[in-house]
Amino acid sequence: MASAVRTSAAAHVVLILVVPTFLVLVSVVLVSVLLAWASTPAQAHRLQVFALAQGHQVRGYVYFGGNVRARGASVQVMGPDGTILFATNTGDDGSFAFLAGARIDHRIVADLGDGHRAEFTLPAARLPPSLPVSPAMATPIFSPAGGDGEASRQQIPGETVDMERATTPSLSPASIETMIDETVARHVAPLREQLVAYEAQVRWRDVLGGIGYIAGVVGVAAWFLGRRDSRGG
Amino acid sequence: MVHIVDGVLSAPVLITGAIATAAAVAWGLKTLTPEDLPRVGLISSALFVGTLVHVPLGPSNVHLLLNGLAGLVLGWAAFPAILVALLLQAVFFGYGGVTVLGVNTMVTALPAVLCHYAFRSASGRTAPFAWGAAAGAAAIVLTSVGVGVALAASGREFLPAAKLVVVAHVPVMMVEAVLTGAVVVLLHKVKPEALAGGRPMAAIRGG
Repeated sequence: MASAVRTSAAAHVVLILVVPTFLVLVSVVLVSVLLAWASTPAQAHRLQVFALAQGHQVRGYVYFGGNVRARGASVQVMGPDGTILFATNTGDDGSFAFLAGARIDHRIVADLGDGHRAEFTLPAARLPPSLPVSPAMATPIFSPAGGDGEASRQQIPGETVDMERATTPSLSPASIETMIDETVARHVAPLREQLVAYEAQVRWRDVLGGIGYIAGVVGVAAWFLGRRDSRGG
Repeated sequence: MVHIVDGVLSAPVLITGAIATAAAVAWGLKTLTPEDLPRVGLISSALFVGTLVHVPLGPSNVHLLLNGLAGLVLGWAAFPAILVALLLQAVFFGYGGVTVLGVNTMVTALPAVLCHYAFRSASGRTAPFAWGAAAGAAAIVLTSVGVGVALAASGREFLPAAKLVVVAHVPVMMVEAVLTGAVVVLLHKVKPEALAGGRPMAAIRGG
């Protein structure tokens, strides 16, 4: 009698372990099929902001993972103390741009109004040292990509090189440094974008890890429920 | 769309959502038996993976939710299933957030439970595909409205926010209606007790 009870309890436990494992394996197969069909590492649900400084021009874009751009997203740029330095909406390609007025951390916040929100902080070190350090308003620049499209291009006092490529740039050390900065930034930009995209990818191991966790939770719950039932009767 | 991220909602909304979800999850766990657990785990896995399938129709970027199906199959146990799926998505993929987990679970799982009660009595009378599709679409509508409510309670204007979310989800409603209807038809043929009227868990147990 007692041995029969022990055997059925053992069989019960085995069943609880085997069935979820089998079902998890089935889920994994289904997941593989589903992801192959979806054919993208579809991390396309997380809103993100990316911005790059070239000289004191800051350009960026708001996008969902998978490089789907967010049109008409509200973008606010704030200083370290929270004051709003600049506000705009993204253009058709999700881009925005502004001229930084000071060498401070610029916190860029994008908000779609439906619960999607993303932040990006442009560190002060990426901006040219010729800018003042005390917080100052950022200003719009002419953005041919279809943004706000205000104002003509502006220059920092003391800069002799036009941001839009003057015909005869002067060769003072300051302007040479600015040119080098710009060139380096231009070459580094694609790398940085790639890095951001790489970091944001949803990977197989994440999917399988999540399913593994669910299987684990199911197993632990089964153990607890088995104890509760056998104790409570 | 439904995964509201950290930092959007106000503290009272977050706390209310967390408390309400905790209570609902406790209730959902009370109804569970060990035999139900594989099904709960399966639905939770399906929801976890389902959000990776994004629907490219329409102007915005939305994904499958599958909470209608979860409600039909699990009833109140949809709460713990959805909580686990959302938590893992927040931790692994960065979708949504952890502080906002209570609110996200509530807006996703409450429509599931409502669909469970609304459609369980239809199982005998109407075609399975019809009420399955209706449940799938209704769950999405209710969830979108729920997101609008949460945003409004945090200070945004309700109508623009709700409209934004609902309109963006119309393609998802269509896809989910078809998907849920198809799954319901399959379950109806193969394992009707999973969709039985009343508490499906009780039906399985034979009680």
